[in-house]
Amino acid sequence: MRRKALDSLRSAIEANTERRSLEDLRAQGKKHVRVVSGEKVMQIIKAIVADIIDREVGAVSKRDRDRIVDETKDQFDRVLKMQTDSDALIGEQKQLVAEWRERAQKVNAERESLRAQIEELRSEQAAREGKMLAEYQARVQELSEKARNTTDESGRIAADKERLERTLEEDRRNAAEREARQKADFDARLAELHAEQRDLVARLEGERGELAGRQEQAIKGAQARIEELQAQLGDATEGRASATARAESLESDASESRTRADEAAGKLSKAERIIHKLDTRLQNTRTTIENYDKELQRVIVERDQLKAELAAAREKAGESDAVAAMRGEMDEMRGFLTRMEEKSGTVNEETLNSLVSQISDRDSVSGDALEAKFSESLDASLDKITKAMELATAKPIDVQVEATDVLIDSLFDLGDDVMSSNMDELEVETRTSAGGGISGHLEALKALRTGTPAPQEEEDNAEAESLIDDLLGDADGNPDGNNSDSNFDGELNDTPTTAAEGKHHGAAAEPAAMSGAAKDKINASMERLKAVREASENTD
Amino acid sequence: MSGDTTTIRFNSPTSGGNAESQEQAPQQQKQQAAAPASTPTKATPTAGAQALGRGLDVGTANLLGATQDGNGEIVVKRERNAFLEIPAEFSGNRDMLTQLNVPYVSFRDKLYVLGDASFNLANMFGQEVRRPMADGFLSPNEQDAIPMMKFIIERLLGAPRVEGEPVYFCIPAPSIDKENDTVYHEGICTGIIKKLGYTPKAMNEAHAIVYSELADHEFTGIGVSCGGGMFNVCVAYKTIPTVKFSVARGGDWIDRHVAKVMGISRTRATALKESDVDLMAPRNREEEAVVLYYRNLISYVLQNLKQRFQLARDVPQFTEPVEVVVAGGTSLVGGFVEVFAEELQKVDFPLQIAGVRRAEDPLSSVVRGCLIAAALAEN
Repeated sequence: MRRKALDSLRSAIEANTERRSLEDLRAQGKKHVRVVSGEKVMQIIKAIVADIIDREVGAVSKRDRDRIVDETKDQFDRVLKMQTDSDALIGEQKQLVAEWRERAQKVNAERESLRAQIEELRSEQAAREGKMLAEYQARVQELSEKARNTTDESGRIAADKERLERTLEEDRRNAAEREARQKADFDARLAELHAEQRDLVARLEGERGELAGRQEQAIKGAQARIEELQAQLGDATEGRASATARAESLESDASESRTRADEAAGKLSKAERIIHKLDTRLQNTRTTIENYDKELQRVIVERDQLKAELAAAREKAGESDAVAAMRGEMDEMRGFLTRMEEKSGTVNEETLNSLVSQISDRDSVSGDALEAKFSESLDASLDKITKAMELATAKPIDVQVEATDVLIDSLFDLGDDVMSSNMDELEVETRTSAGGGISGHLEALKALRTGTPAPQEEEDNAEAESLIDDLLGDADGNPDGNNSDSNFDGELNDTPTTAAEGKHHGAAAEPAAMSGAAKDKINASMERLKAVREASENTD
Repeated sequence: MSGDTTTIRFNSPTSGGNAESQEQAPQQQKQQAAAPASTPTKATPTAGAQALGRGLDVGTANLLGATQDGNGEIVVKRERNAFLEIPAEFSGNRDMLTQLNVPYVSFRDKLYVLGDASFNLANMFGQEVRRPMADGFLSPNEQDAIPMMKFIIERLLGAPRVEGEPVYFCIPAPSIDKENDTVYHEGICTGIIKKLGYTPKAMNEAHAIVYSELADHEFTGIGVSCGGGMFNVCVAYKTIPTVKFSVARGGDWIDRHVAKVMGISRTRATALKESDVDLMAPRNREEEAVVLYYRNLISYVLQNLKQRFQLARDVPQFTEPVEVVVAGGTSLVGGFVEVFAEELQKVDFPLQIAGVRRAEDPLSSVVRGCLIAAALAEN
């Protein structure tokens, strides 16, 4: 038997048998087992196969026999493999079944737990529903009670409404009665007022008539008074004019005197300033002289000292050169001292004499020369200052150019390559204006501009002329201006304002008080006259 | 505009009294209506010496130049105050533009079309025209405005006949309801005109109307210039302006508000206003809206005029009733004079007003006034 066949047989046996332990067998109550060896089994098979072959086929060769054995073995292997596969499949299926069983158990467990949960939830739900139902029932109860109450409330409101309407009706009736009463009162009052008004009107008419009469009388009286006053004014004007002329001349004299006094005062102050300066200079000179004197004294002392030393030296040395030299120095010093004395004496005398003459002639110090010199130097200084200021503040000459001019210039300066047009080759839409020519307009304008003065202007001129004529009278015949009218260019006042005026007013009758309106009118005329005079003076 | 009244006379000077309108003959009205729209003609040299002096109306919508020819007729040139930048791909064929009589300006490699042509081309290219001026003044936001203005003014004035020929140009008065800068505007216009060889002088726009329309009244009265951007008012006494001011509301303000309340486009509102609307007889809600805003604007102007007059110092005594003359494109609408007269009677004006009338040539009244002032200066 070949080993290969044994191997197959072994695997077939293993595939179709189970391995069990001796303890298991013993536990099953088995005490004895029959052990089959593989070789024996092969022999058995071989014998069986040979037997079958011999019986069925007959005598076969060894080769054929081996071939049949091999084929049988192959068939046996195939069957075994199929058997093995099916066993494996069965094993897998069993495993799957086990798994499914396990899963089924799990699912069952879950199902049970879910059932439990469902039961729990159902119980909870039931409890909640019960509670809600109870609440709803309570709410329904409450609402039904409220509805009952509302019905009661509506009834009450209706009752209130009726009551209010009744009250309103009563109020209306009362108001109507009150209104009627008030109307009656008002009518009565109105009638009273009308009666009063009629009385008042009658009274006013009476008073008006009275006032009119009084007014007329007053006007007549005033007119008479005005005429009287105008007559008086004429007289007063004369006297006033002469008084004014005299006052003016006095005033001019007074102003001249004042001017002269001012000038004199100015000169006096200038002289005093000069004196002060001279005093200062004198003081300085005196100080200088004192210093010279001190110096002189010092030099004299030195001279004496030197003399003494010289004498001592002469006595001691008796030398001719030194003595001669010293004598020479002494002579020089003597000469110096002499000169100093003379100088100081001269200075003293000259200075003092000049100062004295200046001080004694202070009245003759002419302020004019100083003033002229001062003015000259002041003018020169001012010119210098002005020129310096001008130089300092001189600005460069600015050329102001309009921004638009710059813009336009840049536009017109562009060449044809930058800006060009065909407009000069084309026609322009042209028509004749419907309004005709303008020569009439030009003539009218020229006439307007060179025509006569305006009527209002002529009127003003005529008024001014008549006013001047009235006030000036025959001014041409009185060149001295003694004509009171021509000299009277001030306002007309009731009382004199200065002593001079009052003094001269005594000569003429004092103008009596006149009405304010007349005074204003005359003052206005005077103002106009003054304005005309000034205008004429300006043109001159 | 047939049947339109141009003059209202008051039976007794305002306030109080009924106004009676002076209806003109239809033929005369047609002539007047047709005059502003006459066919453009080429300016040909005429016999006789041409008087010196020119007028220039620098308006928001239109610029006009006026001069006298040898026969004493006033020749007016007009150009729309607008321009449009042409896209680069279309700017190559400049000769074609010249042949089509389209004025253009080439400035810094860009091409601009000026005047009326700019409106036509704007529609074609789907763009909006640009305006050098807004609300009566040069727009400082429009950078290219000055070169355009220079060319348009040069085109209108031409070369001076003599060096330093006077040119009077109109400027608006400062607005009472809006802050505007007259210095920049006046400076630019003056500079351009001076550079062209003229002697420029500015004058108030409404004052120019006094010069143009009130010669028979010793140049005494009230001139009102009714423009697209603003209304200008001037009260003058023998040529001397005593009160002058402007309000920043005009025809454009009416268009804007009518469009807003009626929910229509502004273009439609403008077309409505410029159609045959009669302010005294509106036919539908849109026309009623136009009437409403016209009345509001006129009342606003008159109230402010009254206040200005009362506040002014040194105002001369107007011993006789004065006339009110209105001019400008916004006054062309039918019934304008009647509505003005009605609103005037509602205001307790401190001056006695004899009547209200429209200028004979409302579109060129201002430039005529400038020309008169220039001619007077030259004489």
